[in-house]
Amino acid sequence: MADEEQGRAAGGGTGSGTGGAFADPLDMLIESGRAALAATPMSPSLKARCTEMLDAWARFAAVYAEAAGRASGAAGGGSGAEGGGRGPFDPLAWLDAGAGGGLGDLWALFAGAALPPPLAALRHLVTGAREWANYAAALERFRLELAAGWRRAWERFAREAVASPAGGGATADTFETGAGPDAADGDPGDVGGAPGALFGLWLRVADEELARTMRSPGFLAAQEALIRARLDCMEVLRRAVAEIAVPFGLASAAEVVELATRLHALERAVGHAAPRAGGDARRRGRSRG
Amino acid sequence: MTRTGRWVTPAASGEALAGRLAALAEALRRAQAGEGGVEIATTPKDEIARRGKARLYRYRPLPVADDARPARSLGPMLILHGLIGRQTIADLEPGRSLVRRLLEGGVDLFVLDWGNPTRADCARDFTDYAEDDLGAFLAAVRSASGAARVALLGICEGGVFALCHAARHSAGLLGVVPVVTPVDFHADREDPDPRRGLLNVWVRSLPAGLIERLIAETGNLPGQLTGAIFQQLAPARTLAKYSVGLAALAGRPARLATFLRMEKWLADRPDHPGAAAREWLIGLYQENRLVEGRFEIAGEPIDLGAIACPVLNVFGTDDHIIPPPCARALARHVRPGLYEELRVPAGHVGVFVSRRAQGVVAPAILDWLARLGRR
Repeated sequence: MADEEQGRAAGGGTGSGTGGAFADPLDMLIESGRAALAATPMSPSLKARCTEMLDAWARFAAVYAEAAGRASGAAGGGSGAEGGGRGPFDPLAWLDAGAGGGLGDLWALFAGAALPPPLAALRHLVTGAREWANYAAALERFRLELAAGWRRAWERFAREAVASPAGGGATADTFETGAGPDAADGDPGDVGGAPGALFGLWLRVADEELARTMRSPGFLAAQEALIRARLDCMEVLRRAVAEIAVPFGLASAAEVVELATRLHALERAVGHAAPRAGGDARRRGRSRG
Repeated sequence: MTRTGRWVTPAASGEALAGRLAALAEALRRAQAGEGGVEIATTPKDEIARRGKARLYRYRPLPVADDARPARSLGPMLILHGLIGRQTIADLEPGRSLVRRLLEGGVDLFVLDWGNPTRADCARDFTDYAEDDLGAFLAAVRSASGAARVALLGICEGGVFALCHAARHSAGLLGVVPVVTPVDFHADREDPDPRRGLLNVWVRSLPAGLIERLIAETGNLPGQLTGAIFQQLAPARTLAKYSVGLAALAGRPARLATFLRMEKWLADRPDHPGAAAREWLIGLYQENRLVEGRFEIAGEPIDLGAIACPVLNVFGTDDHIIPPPCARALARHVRPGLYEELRVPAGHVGVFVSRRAQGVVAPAILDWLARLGRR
């Protein structure tokens, strides 16, 4: 399976994604659709319509990948961006520090390559430290846990898609999209009912498998290690920045917190001493109605 | 569920699809450039009090559905959110607005906005919010409305504020409506769906000292971090939302506008003051102190059994952020004669913004308020 996936990725599919460890599922869906069209007897007009739809999806995927690639480049990219964009279904977009998308903010916090400016200019203060090596290792371990979850999701999806009426012997109907549940009935942006039964199957399977992954001891340990490693890295950076700030008389983070804490205590003490505006004097005990 | 026909009609061609996608891209570009306005929480209201960064607003009355019933005949009711996200979810757009439904039903409605906490607020804790601030703002509501008692509607962590306040000061309350509010933070273990309760699992898996370090890094729990964590809860759907989901909105400007309003709300993530965040994550999520009677406000433990006003507990049966058992646990602690619950077939946010919920939540609250008024 892995060899086929890598072969597909190397062979290109429709060019929407760079593949990475396994090919962009959208590429695979489009290729599966083309194979189904070639193998399924149907009228020329229906075949032409299905082909046009698949071509339109392929153009969409290519445009998305191009835009994602530009965004990735603008963000400084992440490891494995490979100079190109990810397809919209590519789970590796989830794992790529520079790809943005759903985890863009999280990766901006955790991924050294995407440290927000001006921190990016100060990376050299931390990259030589032991903490940086620990952080890089923790990030890769975390990615591995997630990647394993995505792989299990894809394998299960492939099994269930083949076994299901919608997936086995894919026909043009499989890739025609029903509107599904009226999105207005559910949460806005709910894509649970979007294109067709096959896509709905993918969403259900993927979120279930990822949920199991994110509960697993391996993932939880990797997550804890990543948080700890990042905090250690930021501490190195903070100490370096504090040394720079001292000659300029700038308050340190600890000093600001100390000031805020003392002010809060003072406000609370004053509040105890004086009645509230509107006659609602602060009461110390519970009142039972 | 309804199927409204083929998304790609028999007459549609690939070119038509590409055209719709191009129109979608243009609409997104305009939204990003600030053209055409993506506004939320547009129901008119007036500021009537402020305290620190927090603001209290009173909604202007709308024409009521029943001409025989005067405006502001029910309540008053005060809506408060927690410190993760904002109360504007209750007024996303005119067709998806709990606020509007309540105003149309004749409720004298107020809302509290906690503002944007900064590092200067890092020492603020649950006592500040649930006791001091809420107490002061309730006094302001009573003064503005002329009513002796006020109904509280608390959303998520705001519901915990409301319950803690009610346990100490029920005399001044008409009743409490906790909405998607966790009470037993370990009850996720009763939920068989592995997709629900991930937050509970993640927080319990971390040593308390690590959580302290995370908060101490900036003094507060960053809103950017909480937003990112929520997106990770359903990764496939999150990925799909910004690709296939957006494509499905091509040629549907009204739905695209709703989508963009939701994104605007999701992006509005204030920081969570550090002291309150420690109580929330360690005291509640990890140590589950509230249901064990060990959670303290103003130095005194909260006893949910001391709540002496009616409670209407509203929760989503598909809520993956606050698993239903975590919210339903309130039933075990409030006196039976005071407790009612409303199960909404929706998720955490869907309770407020789904079409389905519009016909469920507001009517139930209006009916509940009307019954309170007859007591």
